[in-house]
Amino acid sequence: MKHTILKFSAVAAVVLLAACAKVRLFPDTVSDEVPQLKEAAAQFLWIGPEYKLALQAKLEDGEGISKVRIKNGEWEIDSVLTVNNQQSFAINDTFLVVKDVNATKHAVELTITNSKGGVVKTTVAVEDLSAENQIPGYSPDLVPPAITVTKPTVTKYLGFTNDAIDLELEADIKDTKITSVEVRVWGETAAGEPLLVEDVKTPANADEEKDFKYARTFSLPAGKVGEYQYVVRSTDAAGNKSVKGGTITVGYIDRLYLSDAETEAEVLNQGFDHYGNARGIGTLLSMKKQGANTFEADFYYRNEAADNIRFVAFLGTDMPFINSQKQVNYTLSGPNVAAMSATESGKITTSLASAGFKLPVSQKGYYKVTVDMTARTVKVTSFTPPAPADATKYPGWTAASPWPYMAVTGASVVGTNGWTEVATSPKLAKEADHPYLYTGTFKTQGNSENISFNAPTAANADVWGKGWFRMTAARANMKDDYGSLVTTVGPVGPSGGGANWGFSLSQAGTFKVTYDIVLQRMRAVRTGN
Amino acid sequence: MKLSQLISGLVLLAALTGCSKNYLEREIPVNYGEDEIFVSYERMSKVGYGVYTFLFNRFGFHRIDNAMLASASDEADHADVNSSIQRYNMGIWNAASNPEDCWAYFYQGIRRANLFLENSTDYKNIIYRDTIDAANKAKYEYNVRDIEWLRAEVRFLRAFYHFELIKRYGGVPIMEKATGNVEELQAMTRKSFDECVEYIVSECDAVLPQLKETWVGFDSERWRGRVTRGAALALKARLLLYAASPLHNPANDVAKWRRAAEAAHAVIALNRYSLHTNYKDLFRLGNGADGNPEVIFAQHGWSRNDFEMYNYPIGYDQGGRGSTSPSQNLVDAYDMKATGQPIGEPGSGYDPANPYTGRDPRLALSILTNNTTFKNRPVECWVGGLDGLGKTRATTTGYYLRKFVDEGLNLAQNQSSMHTWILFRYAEVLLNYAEAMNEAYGPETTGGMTLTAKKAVDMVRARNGIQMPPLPPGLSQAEMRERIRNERRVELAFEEHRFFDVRRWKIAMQTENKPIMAMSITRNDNNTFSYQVVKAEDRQFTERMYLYPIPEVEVLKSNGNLTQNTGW
Repeated sequence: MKHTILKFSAVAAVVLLAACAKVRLFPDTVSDEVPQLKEAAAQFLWIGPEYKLALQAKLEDGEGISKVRIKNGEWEIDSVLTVNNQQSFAINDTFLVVKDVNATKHAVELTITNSKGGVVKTTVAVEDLSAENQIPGYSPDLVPPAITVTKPTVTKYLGFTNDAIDLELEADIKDTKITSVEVRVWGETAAGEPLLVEDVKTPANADEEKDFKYARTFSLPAGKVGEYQYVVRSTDAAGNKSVKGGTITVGYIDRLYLSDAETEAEVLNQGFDHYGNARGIGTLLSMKKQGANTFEADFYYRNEAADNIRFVAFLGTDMPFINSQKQVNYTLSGPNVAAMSATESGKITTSLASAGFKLPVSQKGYYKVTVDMTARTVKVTSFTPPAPADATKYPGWTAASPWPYMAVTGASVVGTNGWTEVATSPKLAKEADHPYLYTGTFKTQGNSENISFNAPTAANADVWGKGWFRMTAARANMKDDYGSLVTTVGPVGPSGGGANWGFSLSQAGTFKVTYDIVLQRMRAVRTGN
Repeated sequence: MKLSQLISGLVLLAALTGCSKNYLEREIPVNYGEDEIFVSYERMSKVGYGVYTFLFNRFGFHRIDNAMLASASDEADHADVNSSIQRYNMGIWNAASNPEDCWAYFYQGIRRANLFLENSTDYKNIIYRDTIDAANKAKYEYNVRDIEWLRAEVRFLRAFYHFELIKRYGGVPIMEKATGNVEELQAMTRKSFDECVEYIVSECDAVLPQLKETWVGFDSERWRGRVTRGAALALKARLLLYAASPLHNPANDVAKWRRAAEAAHAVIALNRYSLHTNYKDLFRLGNGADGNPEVIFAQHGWSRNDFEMYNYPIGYDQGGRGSTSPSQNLVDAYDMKATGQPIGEPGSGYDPANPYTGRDPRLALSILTNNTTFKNRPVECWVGGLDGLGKTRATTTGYYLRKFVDEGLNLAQNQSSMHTWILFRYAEVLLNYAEAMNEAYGPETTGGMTLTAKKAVDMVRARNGIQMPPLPPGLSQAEMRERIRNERRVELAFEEHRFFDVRRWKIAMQTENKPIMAMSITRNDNNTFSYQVVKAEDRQFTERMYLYPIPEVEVLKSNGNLTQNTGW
């Protein structure tokens, strides 16, 4: 190699370039003369796998040259040659440099000092010859192995059972000559229990050197929340490396819903919206994700014997209702359901056989329910919701004198006649021991006309201008915490308030409905024909 | 008398020049004596708010002789050769002449904080005297609560100003009282860097429960921009990252990195902040706190157009005079969008003939490159172009600044807009966390927290509208370190981080001695462009410059008690 470099240097020296004209004289020299750069040239060369700067120069000085400094900032070259007062001196040197990403104009700065202190500083332009390798026929393999990971296809696991999770890892690696395939699976459970499995394979024959099929099953800890990574790394004969990999999570939930359905029948018969295709007005309450794996919702807890509180989890694009949210996609005893432990207060269990289905409090009331699916805990914090105060939305309602009922109006409701309350209008009666909850039963005729709730006419003389409860915004905006359609029913004030959408339970039948005027939750379940 | 010079000229309240908005806007009609100040809520609170005014002049925009601090790092060159910022780049600054000397300024802020804290201890009685009417009960309670918050905020600001000192000078004297006694001041000595760190940490911890979580939604939004708990946690995170970095942790004590990671995680765990969904708008919001979930603490700005006057490309007929010229060095740091790889990697997809195509979107949002449409015409950075190299006050690198610049202003009509400088934002916290986690635990281990280093970086890269591919898995700790450093360089470009980052990483001898490179662009006959990188400017950095020198006058006045930094 050195011979080759010298050969090229000698060739290059034949075409020496004149030094740059940027000569500077320094007045503190006692000499009348400054060193002379007679000839100089520099080339940027690609030699085999390396890039080099080759520099040649001839220097002369009558007083004798004492030192030469060679400098280039972008290549971080800063070299000082001690010359020992020679009257002529030849530089024939090379420096290892890096390849230019962009075409770059380089120059080498020479600072030449003579024995009397005379100094000259000049620059030598660098000729860029790096486009072609100086070794004929040199054709390096610059392409790293191509890795295609075909498995795992599932990267998220609920981890609700106590069975270990089998992680199947398969990859297809291609290159002109593969020398090694390294696979690593590692991570830790949320409790800090580490996992590390490494596997190194070498191609056994010429076929495998070109196309290596990797397949192995790794075992992830059973029933524990954790996060794991996997990588497949391959190196070829030229030293090129490539790596592919991904993340596997166990127990990190994408959606969590609180269910207060008392029975499986309530799950199957929860209410539809105006178009009969969104079931958010039923027995599920979406919980807002807070951080990596914690979920929160405001909830009124009845603390009754019939309580059946469960948490329904979903991963990825899975959701509780499918086919435009019509079809129920879960059961109360499914593999994605957790509930409070019957034995450990405040703990969540994924084994429903040992669950208690209550919240860890002994009083009914409003609670902020926080579920940490990593720690598998549930925390409830009591809160007092602000009482309704808007006279347009809640006309006549006061804490001292809450409405005795809310009227259900709309042409599809049996017993009504249009949009205002009549004597036969079905009613949601205020629950006896609660200022905000209104419960009742009504029957629909099964078409898709709007339904509304209304403040009682006795409390509201302006029946068209105040006290209407409808969908609170344009339907497309009615999303739950995860972007799925939900029909939140809220106070809109006048009949045309908001987007003027009512709601409907399009399947004919009798519905039992509870409406909470502060949380704006409507819980509707079809109970019969 | 090392510090007395800093305070001798201080006339209480006379210097309480308010800034333009809300509580920073308040003015005092006359100068009062010290005994006339702490007699009412109105006067007392103004002293407290006045401590905020020291957030100005030493943070952000073109504050150093019309140059950005970025122009003293490898992020940019400053087009005006006469600006004092050039002293940094030529290596001709010293203890008597430092273009960005902050010693006196921040100690003035600290003294102002101490005056307020010492004299407002009896605030309840002062406010009670001020509101003795029983009908004023609500006002009394409001004012008491406000001073309680303000006292915590001022303690935070005092800690923040101490941090700004130590990141420049290393260990400094800690000033916890507003002494005017010359002998006492002369006797003050520098604390070690670690002692200063512990002091600032203890102050952040102490005020945390007293600070408000947010000012958004409170009292008709009139107090937005004041210090919050998030700001205290973010300061602690940044401080501990500096303390763990090679400049201040030469033995690489891993416990320091762990502590820094935990501090950054405390901000993340608040679940209050998130990445703004538009990288461009993030820096153009009038008030950094307005509906911007990423901003943790910002310098409450005012309406202005001088920044645009300095940074619009030179060819625009509205007064542009190219000032900050982003370097090729920085441009090269932006990865390729499709592959997520650095441009020099084989297979990255980089095309030197079209160097700005297919790059990390943050390049186009931060830097104006040739032929980019700006104010309804392409920017002509080519030699001979309207904005090209060689013109007086034109770019010296072939690039103009885009970050922070309001493109919509008509300077001929003297239009202006709000300019807010963000002091702490969530993306920085994520990158602080990633750096500390990588050093403490490695690239892909949670260490009992919720995110790995890689995941935190990937979150920053995945910002809406940026959506850079995640970093490749399986990186070694050293590889991840380089990727994190590059991510900081790109994400936080021109935000006054790089200047200090290369120092705390102890890589400035390499990065700051490299020349600033420029792109020389030639327009071809067929209206295509040819690109060649050329040297714009050599830079000079020596070992002693890792820390600023203590101002010479302060050392001389201290009777030897104030020791100078090594090499100065």
